[in-house]
Amino acid sequence: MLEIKNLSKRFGDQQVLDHINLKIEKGKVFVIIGPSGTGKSTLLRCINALERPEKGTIQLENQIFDYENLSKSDIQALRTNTSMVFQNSNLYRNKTAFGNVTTPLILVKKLQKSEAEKVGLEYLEKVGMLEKKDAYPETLSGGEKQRVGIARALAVNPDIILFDEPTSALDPELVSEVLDVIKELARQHTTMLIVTHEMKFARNVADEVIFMEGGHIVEQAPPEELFGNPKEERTRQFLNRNRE
Amino acid sequence: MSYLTETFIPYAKILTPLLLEGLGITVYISAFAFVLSVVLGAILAVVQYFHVKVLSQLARIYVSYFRGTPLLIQLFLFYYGLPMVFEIMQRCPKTFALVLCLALNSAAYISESIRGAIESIDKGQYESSLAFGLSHYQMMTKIILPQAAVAAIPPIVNSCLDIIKMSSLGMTIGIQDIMGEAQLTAATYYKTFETYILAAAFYWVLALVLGRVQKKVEQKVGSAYRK
Repeated sequence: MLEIKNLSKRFGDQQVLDHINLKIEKGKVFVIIGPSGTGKSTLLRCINALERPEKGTIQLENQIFDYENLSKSDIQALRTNTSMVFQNSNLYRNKTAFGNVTTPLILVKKLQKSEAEKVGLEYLEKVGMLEKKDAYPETLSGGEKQRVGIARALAVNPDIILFDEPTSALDPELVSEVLDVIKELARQHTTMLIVTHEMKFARNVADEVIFMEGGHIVEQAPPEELFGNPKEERTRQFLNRNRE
Repeated sequence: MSYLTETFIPYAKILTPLLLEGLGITVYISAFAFVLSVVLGAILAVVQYFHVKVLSQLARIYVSYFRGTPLLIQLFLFYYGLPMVFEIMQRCPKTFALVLCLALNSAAYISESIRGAIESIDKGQYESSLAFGLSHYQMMTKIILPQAAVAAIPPIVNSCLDIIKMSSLGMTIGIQDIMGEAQLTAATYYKTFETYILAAAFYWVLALVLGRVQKKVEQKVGSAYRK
């Protein structure tokens, strides 16, 4: 379970996130849609403290953190209990696919090497990348990199996985292999918060869809409702512009 | 043909053993200067990269001075100039003076190469390290520096080449390296052309060997970054 209260973040004099409130129950898939530059990615990055909001609290399971005075160990707790799949995968370039998955397990989770390797293989298999476990990121396609990125995020066994536009940087023909993996995770009730521009996918995979604009959550509803019968005019306009 | 058999080859037979002696000195001086400059360069780079107070400003002045003035002046200042002011410096051996000046000079360039290599690493590498809870130390030693080291190899090998070639300035303070031996022999036999052609060949071969080594090293450590 993740609950955010009153989260605000500004860059200079621009208010990027304005009093965001959000509650994600365990096992649910939340999808955030909305125009570019409305703070969707920033919200994800605030959750694992890659960005520091000025205000707000976040609760992860039973732990509550206050962004106004985050200690070093708070930041570490946020980062080890959440994990992130980046738009550009950001796989460690000096590590193989396998090394990418096991590195956080060994360095951060302090697993024994043999134990980490067992977990690593398990999750690479889960995303269909077992055959390429010894390949370096440079030799992988965009879709393959994302699948390894997902395996890396799963392997640390987080309370929630944050997806920052996981398919935006991909060639169109590679999008589906990544979305298929995420859909499978949704079926297994992995708690996820996904920022995406893929409307059909959002509709298909989400338990709840959030429409964000200008640093606000404009509307939040189950997908049938938000896509079928949006309450807010701005949501309707956005969906009309992005009809697939 | 007769020039080759009657003049060049007999002279080369006299000169080559002398140049080989000089080669030993050149390699010895360059190797010491190179190792010293890499260590010093790495320290300068890290100090600047992490903006260590005072030290990073000093490092910047250091780099600016050693990149901005001729090595020959640095050498003369150290070997001829300082002993005029500090008596103890009169006992400084010339080999030591040359090694130190080469290292100090080259470290300025190498620190810039290392700093550039660290800065060339994509921001995403830092983010994915931090996002998964790696400490700053783990991030630098396990993710960033291993990548930066590979990126820094070509410019550092260049610096090594420069050290070998610049070591020939040792002649001006009387060091008997390749260049020193060549100059002395040329003056004795009045054979400037033959002497310096052969001396150039010696340096060139050294450079070729170094190029080979660079390729081998790059192949070994760079395998992760090839498609």
